[in-house]
Amino acid sequence: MPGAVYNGSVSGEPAIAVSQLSKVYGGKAAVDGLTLTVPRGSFFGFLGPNGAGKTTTIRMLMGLAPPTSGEISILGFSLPDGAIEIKKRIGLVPDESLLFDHLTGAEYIEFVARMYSIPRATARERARELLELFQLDSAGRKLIGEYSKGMRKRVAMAAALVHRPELYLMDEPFEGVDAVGARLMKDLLLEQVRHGATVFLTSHVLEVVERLCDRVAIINEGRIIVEDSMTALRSGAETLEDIFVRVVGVGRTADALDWL
Amino acid sequence: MTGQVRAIVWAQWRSLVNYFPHSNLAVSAVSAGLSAVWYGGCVVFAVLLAQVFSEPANAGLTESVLPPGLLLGFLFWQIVPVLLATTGGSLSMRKLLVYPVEPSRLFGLELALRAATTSEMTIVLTGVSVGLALNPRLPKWGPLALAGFAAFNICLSAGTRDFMVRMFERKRLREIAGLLIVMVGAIPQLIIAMGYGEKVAGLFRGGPGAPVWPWSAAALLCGERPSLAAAAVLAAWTAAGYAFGRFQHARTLRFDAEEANASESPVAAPRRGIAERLSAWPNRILRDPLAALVEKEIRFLVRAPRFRLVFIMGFTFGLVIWLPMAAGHARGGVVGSNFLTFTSLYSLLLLGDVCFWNVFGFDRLAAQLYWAMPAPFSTVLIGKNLTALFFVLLEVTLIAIGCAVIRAPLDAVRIAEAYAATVTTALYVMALGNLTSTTNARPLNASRAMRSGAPGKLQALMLLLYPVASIPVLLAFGARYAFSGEWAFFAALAASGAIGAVVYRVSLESALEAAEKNKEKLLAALGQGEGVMQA
Repeated sequence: MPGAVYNGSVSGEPAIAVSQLSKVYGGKAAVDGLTLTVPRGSFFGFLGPNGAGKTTTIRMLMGLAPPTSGEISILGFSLPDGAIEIKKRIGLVPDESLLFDHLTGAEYIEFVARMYSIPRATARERARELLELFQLDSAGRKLIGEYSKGMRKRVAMAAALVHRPELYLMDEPFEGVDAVGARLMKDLLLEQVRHGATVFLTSHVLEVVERLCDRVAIINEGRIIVEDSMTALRSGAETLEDIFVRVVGVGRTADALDWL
Repeated sequence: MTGQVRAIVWAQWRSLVNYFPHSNLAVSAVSAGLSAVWYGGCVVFAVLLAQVFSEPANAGLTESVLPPGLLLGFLFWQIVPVLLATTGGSLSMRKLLVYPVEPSRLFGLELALRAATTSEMTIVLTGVSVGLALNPRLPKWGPLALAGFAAFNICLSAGTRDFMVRMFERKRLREIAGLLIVMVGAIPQLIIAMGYGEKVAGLFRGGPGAPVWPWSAAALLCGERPSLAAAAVLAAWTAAGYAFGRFQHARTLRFDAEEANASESPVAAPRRGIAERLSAWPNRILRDPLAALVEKEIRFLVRAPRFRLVFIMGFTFGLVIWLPMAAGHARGGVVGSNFLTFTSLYSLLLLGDVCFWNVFGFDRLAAQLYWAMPAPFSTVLIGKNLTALFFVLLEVTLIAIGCAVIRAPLDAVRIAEAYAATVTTALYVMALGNLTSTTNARPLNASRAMRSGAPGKLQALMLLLYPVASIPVLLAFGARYAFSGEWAFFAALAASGAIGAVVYRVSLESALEAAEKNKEKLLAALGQGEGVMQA
């Protein structure tokens, strides 16, 4: 990738390589033999209907849920052995449960920065700048637990950027974020990709994915049913939404409800 | 790594500071003042202890005062971290797993955090240690024994906290965990009431010879007659505490709440649960939309861990807490002979927060539907009140069964008395509750078994309003005493009930007006935050 600024990770390896990954909850496979490769420098959209296994996959990639079986390699390091090396290089926009509700936005970003060994003074300065950028500086002493959904996503995004990671793992980053905030987030992510970073995100907003991502995978019932480049997927007349509905939403029409 | 440790300790500190109200300067000043008084008091107490234990004449205190003192310290050390974990004021180690920190180092951090959150004990023990070290009649390794005792406590409390946190994340088990915590507070009272006080105290003191407990072993090592056996006992307890803490910590890091709560048989046909059975009656005696509202309320409350906990507490904890006042010599006293009524009224107090004073709390922003749907708002309040009344009656029934099981005084008159007194009080509580619910709503997190966040003004208001609502029952007791007859009790209650019905009617009108007037403010308050802070 021209202009790449990152080093340290095993170059030439894909950003994410997952092989035969499975996660079983109470006898039911949430993720079922998933095999996936995310090239470096790509903007990868991971789509699927509710309950398809997207969040479970992301949780396994983050090292929060151990897989039942299968292998995960991120930036050339295998999980769980290379977990620390991987964590140093990734930025997370997790689901809301990973935020510390009793910290303010500034405190949270500063804390995250220091966890990535950024000196305190720099961490504080970056926290201030990021809060300003994401228009959260007016929240002042408000705690994250008192934030709205959109504010929580914005603070998570700001914290993900604070150490300039090589790979971003994002679970519904635009959920609840207003148009201005979403635009800012998209621009920032595109800029990061231009500089060689990789973005792996889940989203239900297909228009956003269609505009941002250069590669897409669709998961349903724990299995990948479509994986291709956006260019190849859109070579026909179908939009991404048409493709998505076709592959996962067959037979769901309101015709069956004659009273409606 | 040191930077990360500092960052984690700093975040824990900030979380604790932020846990207390910070909305304005005055509140912050009061919070800071209270903290200063509390920790200042600990320091003063530690200095006093240092002085007392440094006196050669007081060397004997290591045998008489130190063991029970250390036992109290042990209880403090174990209970406070669990309480902090339930309120959310403590950092979750699992959340740190996403950062580049070696999981093996997290245990050390966990111990440091447990020590930090119970710093009062560290301050007090430091005072004792200084005193022991300065006392010429006592061995110099006394402080070392106390350090070992502290290490045991910190390891054990880390393990206990981890265990409880996992319990709180498991469906069905979280209510049991909550109940366990509140029951711990009632255990000493129960032991004393059942006449086992001296026996249990003797057990914890330990007899002559080798000490059994860590506090008695540590105290013995600090005294004039230390023994190798005491050192071995303390070392064994510390090692066991470390192993327990480490084991629980590793389990917590591996814990996946989603996995733990996953159903074993996802394809099995849904069973007809308690919620289904309990919510069947409104459709038989009420008409829609009231029936639908009551049915929805019952289903929701039965599935809410927070409600389930207070409801279960009514006929378990409630019985236990009143038992000492009704057992032994107190059996013929006021509480003893009215045990069922007192316990039932206490259960009404427990249900108050979720059923009466803040009825829209669990609905959060969904409450806006009540203003949007084509039904009068009075139907909503009446529906919520009927649901509350249903659960109150159910609670009294369960308490009566509990009384029969523990052989508390019980007959038909007492049962009728309990129902009548509780329903009459509930009438007044509902009247007042409708007003507070439409003027001072706040969001509650139904999925948390225990209340989190600092107590708000509603709790303070409840302390004031509940005695007011209990006046009619007190008058009924007064009438029975004055006229020496059961008829007087029921006649007074009937009169209070009639007045209560009028009060309820009037307050309902006022509540409807308030609901309309405060609609925007209420919805803004109920919609505040998506996190757990308002819970």
